[in-house]
Amino acid sequence: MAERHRRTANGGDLVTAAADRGGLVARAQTRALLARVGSYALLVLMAVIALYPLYLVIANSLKSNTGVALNPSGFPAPPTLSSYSQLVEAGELHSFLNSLIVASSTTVGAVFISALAGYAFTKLRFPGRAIIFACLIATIMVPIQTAIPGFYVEFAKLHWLNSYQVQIVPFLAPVFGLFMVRQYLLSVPDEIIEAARMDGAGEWSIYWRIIVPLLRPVLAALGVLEFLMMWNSFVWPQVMADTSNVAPLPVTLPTLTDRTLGIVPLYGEIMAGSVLAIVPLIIVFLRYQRAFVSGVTYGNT
Amino acid sequence: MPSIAETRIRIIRIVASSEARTGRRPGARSRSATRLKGYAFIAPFLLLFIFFSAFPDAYTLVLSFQHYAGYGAATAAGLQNYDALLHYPVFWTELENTLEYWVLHAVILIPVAFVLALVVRSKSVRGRSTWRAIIFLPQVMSIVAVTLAFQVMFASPYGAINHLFGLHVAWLTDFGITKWVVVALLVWQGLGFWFVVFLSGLTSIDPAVEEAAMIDGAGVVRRAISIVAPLMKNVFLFAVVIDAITSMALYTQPTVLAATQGVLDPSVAPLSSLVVVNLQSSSFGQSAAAGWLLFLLTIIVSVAVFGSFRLFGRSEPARWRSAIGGRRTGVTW
Repeated sequence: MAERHRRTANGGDLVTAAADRGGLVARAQTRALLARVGSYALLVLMAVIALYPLYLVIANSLKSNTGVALNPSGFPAPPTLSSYSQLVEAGELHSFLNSLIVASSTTVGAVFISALAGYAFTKLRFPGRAIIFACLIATIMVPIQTAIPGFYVEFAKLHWLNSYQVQIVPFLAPVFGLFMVRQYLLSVPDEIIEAARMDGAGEWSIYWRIIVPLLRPVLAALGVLEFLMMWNSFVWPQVMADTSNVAPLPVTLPTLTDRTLGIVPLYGEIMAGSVLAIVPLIIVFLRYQRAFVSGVTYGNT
Repeated sequence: MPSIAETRIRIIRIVASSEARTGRRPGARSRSATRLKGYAFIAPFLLLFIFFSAFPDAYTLVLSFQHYAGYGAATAAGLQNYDALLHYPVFWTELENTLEYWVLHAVILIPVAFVLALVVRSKSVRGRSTWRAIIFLPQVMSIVAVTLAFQVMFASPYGAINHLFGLHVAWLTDFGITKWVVVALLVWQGLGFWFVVFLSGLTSIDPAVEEAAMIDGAGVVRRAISIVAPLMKNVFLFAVVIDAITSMALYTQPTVLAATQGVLDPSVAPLSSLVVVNLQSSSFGQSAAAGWLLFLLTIIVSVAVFGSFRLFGRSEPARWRSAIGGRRTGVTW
């Protein structure tokens, strides 16, 4: 069978091809229809699975704490904002603000610092460049938990624990940022920089006037990735900064329990807090999808 | 105020006179200048990295050979911390948990993400960018918040899933089942990421290769397995290695999902929680030893993954490349 198809494709046996055509086209059409129906069924199923937890968070945030316990899956009837007001009373807005301060200042700093270094590692020549870069890339394999005991013991002596800086400064030099900037700059021809140098531009003005504007898309992607990473950081602040004045939302949210015994989780409030953690980022995502998606795939493929 | 032209002439004069004095060629001078600039550009990154990453990692290694309780002087411990951990049954349970979470979620996640990428790319699907956005969406949701949503979903007896389907499954208290809830969460969360990675990998494949196979009568499934997947071998390698590295450091999801009153049962805890638990009980030496064992595990696992790819992956793409090449010449013949 396959042999005959190959020959018709080569234009070898035209008579058989003409005779076959009617049956083949019909079969191809039903096959295409089946493929289409199957594809959409799979996609709809995936969309439901992807969106269900989001629905659950929003629906349950509009119930009281006992409302969630009685009816965890249904619509809120009637919707109430009581969980949100209790969330505010519990001081969770402060945690939200802590998250925002830490994530945004780390993002700005890390983008600036890794762009500078990524440029130097790609376009400037200096002894040790390749070796230093290779060493930095190799550390991608070091889990964050490896640094925790050493960091904790040393920086406790410097009174850094339970502060903003303990959450910000260690993340200002992300190796993946270096990698992303370098991957992007490799495709930029050296001639642009050489031409500017011939015109007498200093290294700094070359960087600032020529390289930074070129890098804009990759810096946006890097910013998104760094922000997401910081917004999600959990183990580091749990260990280093868990007092309520500096702790970020992911650390305080799971600890929202009843005020008398501190045992029963208050799911209405927890879901309202989860809305705070999830929804702003979704809105930003829907607006700047390209930066998000390219942030994920830069240098990956 | 000298004009710009005057300044420039002055600078040229200065440079020329200094060259006359030192006898250096202008090229050499600018080269050493860019060298210095290079170091200046990487200095902020490198210093931050050394002080806040490399140094703590190294200090953890030192600490792992000491007894230290957070006060007083640290005393030498030799290999005692490592020895204690390895003789601790919980270590092996948690090591097994971490490996289980990794293997079970990767085996589901990577093929499903690949199939989804193929489906969204195929000609029979419309509204590609909408589907892409929806499938990617979990990736931008706060990990702790969605883990808490899974807690509401799988709580027993009154979780959303039990309520919806009239079940009485102890999802989060029967730890054999809880492991699968963690796996489901990891798949749900990671799908969007790998889906997008595969989607962008697919665009780099020459459509002519697939068309040639289609003319030969190869069906969708056959094309995906025999042609597209081998051509994407490097993307798969990347996916599996990066996923393995991040899986070894897994902590947040099982901890938030299954902890009751802040305590996580060792039968569902990942290995990384040994670092935190020991740190919180002020046995810093053991915490440090756990941190370095986790690092060693990451190295071993990624080397093993890399090696197995080279072992099993070598013959496949070569065979198919020659097959495609052969068929191409067949057409002209």
